[in-house]
Amino acid sequence: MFYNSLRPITYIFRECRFINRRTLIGMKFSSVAESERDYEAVGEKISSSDDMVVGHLSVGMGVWMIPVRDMKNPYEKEKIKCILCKYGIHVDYKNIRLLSQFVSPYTGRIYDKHITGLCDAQQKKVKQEILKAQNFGFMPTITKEVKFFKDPKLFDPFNPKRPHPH
Amino acid sequence: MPSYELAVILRKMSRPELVTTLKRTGQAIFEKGGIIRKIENLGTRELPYRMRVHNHSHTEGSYFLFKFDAPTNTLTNLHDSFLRDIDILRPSISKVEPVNFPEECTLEEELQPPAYRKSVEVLLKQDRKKIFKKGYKNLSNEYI
Ligand SMILES: [Zn+2]
Repeated sequence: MFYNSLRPITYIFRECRFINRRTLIGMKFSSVAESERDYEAVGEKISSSDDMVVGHLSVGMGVWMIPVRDMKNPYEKEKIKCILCKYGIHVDYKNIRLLSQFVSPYTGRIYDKHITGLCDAQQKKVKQEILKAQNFGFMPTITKEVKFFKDPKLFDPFNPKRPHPH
Repeated sequence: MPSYELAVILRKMSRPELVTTLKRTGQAIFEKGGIIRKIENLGTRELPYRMRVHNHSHTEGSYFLFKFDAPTNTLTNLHDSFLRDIDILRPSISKVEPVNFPEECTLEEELQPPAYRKSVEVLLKQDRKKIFKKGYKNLSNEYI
């Protein structure tokens, strides 16, 4: 029974060149019968198109998935992005509602990047645009505007993600 | 001719007076050889802080936005002419910046420990002796 279940793998090994040979040997499938008449397919044949393996072989009890060469790592984690880059938000000095989300309601000062969780470029941009808005007469300098106090909070200033911005 | 933005705050006025001042500001741009692309009304509202202009303190103002193209060497003259206008509280000209600003977010690299960051690599390559020499000299001057 066990011997039978191993046979189709050797079939694949012989027929198709696009399978990585090392992986098969590493899995200790090389000890299968060598005489040619022993090779016979049990399941469906593999359908291949231009160096890419599409189908799979069903053998006995289980299903054998075929290893694919030159494939992207499917377990790779997604890249971390800051909120502004993630949603593609354009920071502008006229949009004071967005800018005042990065200002403390207690002191009226701009939060640093270890609290806001922005990347270096975006933090610099936010800082510049806030100063611009204050100088142009769009935004108060000493306090945050009271009508923006109940806006949703993007971060918790009392539990920063990093101990310091460096 | 690069494109600029003029965010102007006018004092609280009646509607016909507003129209004449807006025409005057537009005319000033045309006289300097500029082109106006767009005029936007950002509304009248309470100022974020009290402004004292031309010996009068103001608490309310109406915001307008001019998008225009003008030659670079005329900007200082243009700004100066706006400052002399009595109806204008604050004229501010700024460059129009690209919309999609950073091409790639570098947050993942910044969150790594310092040994793996590029910015720290640059610091390590600098000549350490020179940095320390400078530091010691400054300290000796200050504290003796
Ligand atoms: Zn970012």
